[in-house]
Amino acid sequence: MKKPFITLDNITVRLQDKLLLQNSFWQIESDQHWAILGPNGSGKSTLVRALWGGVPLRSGRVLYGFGDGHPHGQTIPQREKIGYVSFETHQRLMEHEETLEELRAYAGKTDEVTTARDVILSGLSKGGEVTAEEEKRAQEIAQLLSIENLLDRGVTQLSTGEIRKTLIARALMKSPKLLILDEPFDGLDERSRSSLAESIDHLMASSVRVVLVTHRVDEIVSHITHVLFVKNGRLFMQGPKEEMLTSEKVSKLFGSNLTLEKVNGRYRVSYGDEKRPKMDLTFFYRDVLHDAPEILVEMKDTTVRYGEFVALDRLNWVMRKGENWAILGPNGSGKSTLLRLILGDNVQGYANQITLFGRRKGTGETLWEIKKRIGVVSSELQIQYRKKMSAYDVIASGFYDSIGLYQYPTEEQKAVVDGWIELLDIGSIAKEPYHHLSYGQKRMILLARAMVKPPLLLVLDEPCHGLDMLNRRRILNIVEMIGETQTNILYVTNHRDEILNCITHIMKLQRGKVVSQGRKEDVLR
Amino acid sequence: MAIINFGGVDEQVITREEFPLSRAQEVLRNHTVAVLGYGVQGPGQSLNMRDNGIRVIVGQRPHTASYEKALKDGWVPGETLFGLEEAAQRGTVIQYLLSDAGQKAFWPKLKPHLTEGKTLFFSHGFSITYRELTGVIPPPNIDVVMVAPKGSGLSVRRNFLEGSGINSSFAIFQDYTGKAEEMTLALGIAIGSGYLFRTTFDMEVYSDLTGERGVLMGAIAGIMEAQYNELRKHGHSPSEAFNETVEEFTQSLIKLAAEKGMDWLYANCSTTAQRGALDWKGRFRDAVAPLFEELYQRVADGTEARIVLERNSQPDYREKLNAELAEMANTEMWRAGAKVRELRPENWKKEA
Repeated sequence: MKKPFITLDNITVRLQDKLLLQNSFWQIESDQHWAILGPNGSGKSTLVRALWGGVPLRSGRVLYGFGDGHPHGQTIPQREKIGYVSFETHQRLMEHEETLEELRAYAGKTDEVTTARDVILSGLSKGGEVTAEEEKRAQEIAQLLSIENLLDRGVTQLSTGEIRKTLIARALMKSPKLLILDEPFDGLDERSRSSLAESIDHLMASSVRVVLVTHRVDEIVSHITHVLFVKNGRLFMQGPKEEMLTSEKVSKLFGSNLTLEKVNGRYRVSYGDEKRPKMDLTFFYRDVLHDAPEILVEMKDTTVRYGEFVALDRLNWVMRKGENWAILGPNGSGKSTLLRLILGDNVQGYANQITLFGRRKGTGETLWEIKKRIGVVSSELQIQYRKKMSAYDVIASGFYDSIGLYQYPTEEQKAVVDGWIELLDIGSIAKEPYHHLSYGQKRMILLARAMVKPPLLLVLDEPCHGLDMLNRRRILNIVEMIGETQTNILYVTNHRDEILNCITHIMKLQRGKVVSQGRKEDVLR
Repeated sequence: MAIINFGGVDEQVITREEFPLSRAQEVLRNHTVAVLGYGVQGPGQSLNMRDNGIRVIVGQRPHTASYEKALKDGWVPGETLFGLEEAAQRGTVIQYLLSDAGQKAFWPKLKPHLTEGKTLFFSHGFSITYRELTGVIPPPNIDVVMVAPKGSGLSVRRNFLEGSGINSSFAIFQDYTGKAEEMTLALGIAIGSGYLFRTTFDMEVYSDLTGERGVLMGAIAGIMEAQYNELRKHGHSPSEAFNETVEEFTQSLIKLAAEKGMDWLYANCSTTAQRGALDWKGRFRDAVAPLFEELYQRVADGTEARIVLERNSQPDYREKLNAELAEMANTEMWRAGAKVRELRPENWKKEA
């Protein structure tokens, strides 16, 4: 007999002073697993937060058919039995870590670190000592997600994908009845994605119900039974998976002509035959970049260590003017470290032979001279950028490489900001407070911020994270165009379909070492 | 140099617009800055200077946690990372950032390296102001200067990376070269200051020691205890006593005061709170004024500094200190506080 597992009974959610998801009804039966799809900013994350009582309800109620106490229809959020992983939990973890760092700095205990193991064990709701059995469970979960080797490392040293896996492990640690995964595959490499998909499928077969928020239809794992569409802050359509995942319905959801097909049991989307919109970037490249050096980045025997762990092992690499590189490699292969060295965020750059824009690092150049040449979009930056300010000002802060805006942009600079807002079609969100935007919306703002200079080197670390299908395509199109300008691209990705035409060179990393590098066609052969 | 009016009194303030980084680089062009001590202020200041294109080396005792941290931060042994003495010998500017006690202890070894024309830099005036007690008496043929960031070492670094800066005070104790001020400002900008306020070594120390003994730590904890005890005496629960004494202050009122000032707080609170606060403010001021008078006197005449140095050097000091700290931590008030913090709104509902 079917019985309701969880019910959103005519709820309306309040977010700041706005009402969202007005009068929504959604019921998950005890034998169902749901996927949620919808454009950026449509209210998907808010909806799943309502499932565990993470947003205030203006009206209606959430009924839980599981957990302790009353067997049916209780309204107390069963947080002990709900696992939740999202960009928000990731961000909160890093925020908390920053506070701890402050406390440690104040107390002179800078050698203390929070390890991945600490994070995973913090999933246990009870306080006090961790039992040997719980230790063992943590170990097993880590094994399941292939992160045993991370357990003793500090979380601040981990890459985005590694932290994401650690958070999933934490959620599993409490043996949840309901597992809410908001974009769980973001930041994960191909192997981790498929092993996570397997694990999720496996969990579904046991007693865990899963709600999966995703932007990629190919990530809808096979055991998902139902799909919910969210659009413009409302539940748009819902039903069994096969009925929902049709070209017609998905096109309706995104207001665009999309073709959905199932290939080898996986869904795939293609974008009809709309032609690539014509855009002109010459406005942004009027009189700049003429002094670009021949060699943008050169690393010789570059090595980065965290204690025993070697993040980069004697890396040799040259990136020349006119080249666009893609850096590929599994989580923990050294991609993040490589970028941090270029961006100056990893100070071990000073202990290595690194030449940036024609100047050897540590010979009297300033960090700002280097940053002036670079635009960057990454999850790491997005986590650091936590200011309460207008999205417009966030874009303008790209001129100064600051987090926050501490100078007044000129009229000319404002015109450039306006230009990018128009080009990226983000006029409506640029007026909003940045901290009110959704993850994907912030991503779009940060891309504009990266481009305003315009940069000689554009560092894109998984730029499509959190973007819906249309925004993803828009960004990729624009990156293709940027790739033809004087801006050189350094693109880090775990998605093969993002190796764009403009990419000329590829480096493959594994365990901190270069596996292969060179011209794209040679490396991919 | 900007003159800024503070409540009717003009003060000199130097901004990074007036003294840009390029000028700091010019001033420091032929210098090597040796940062001695990689503890609290050392990392932030040295990392910022390095990222500002200044030639910096670090001096730190090997086989210490701080030395390991320096390695992790990309300082290279034999190139940019040395023992304390070797760094002191190589540096033309010596940033003396050891702890107060550490400065006193290392001074005899540092002194031979303070050759003519070098700059000795502090971020706290303690050693110099109480030089009769510490023995830190610099030779006459060097410059002795100070830049004291008004924030933790961590915020010095974080603000720098965000592109803002930190406010600092600066002072010159001894100007042998005739260029001490320019050098001080250059160092102030190089370590990441945004605004630089003029002070003296004595003034910096006196205000610092008075502040931490007074309103910032000593007085505030004492007043809190007194009020908490009184409330408890009359049957208020620990949570209620703590909420009305500490929690409401730290969680809401002090943040409003930080944003708009205590005067604004008074002008905008309920009339009940307003009348009472206005009536009682003067009585509290008058009650503690004699204590502050005594406190300042003892700071200025060196009594407080002497106590610190004497007590710190007693062999059983650590033990006694731990007992004192434990006594405070075990009071009902601070234990109740730990519970109240757990129940704060931001500590619930945030995660499933």
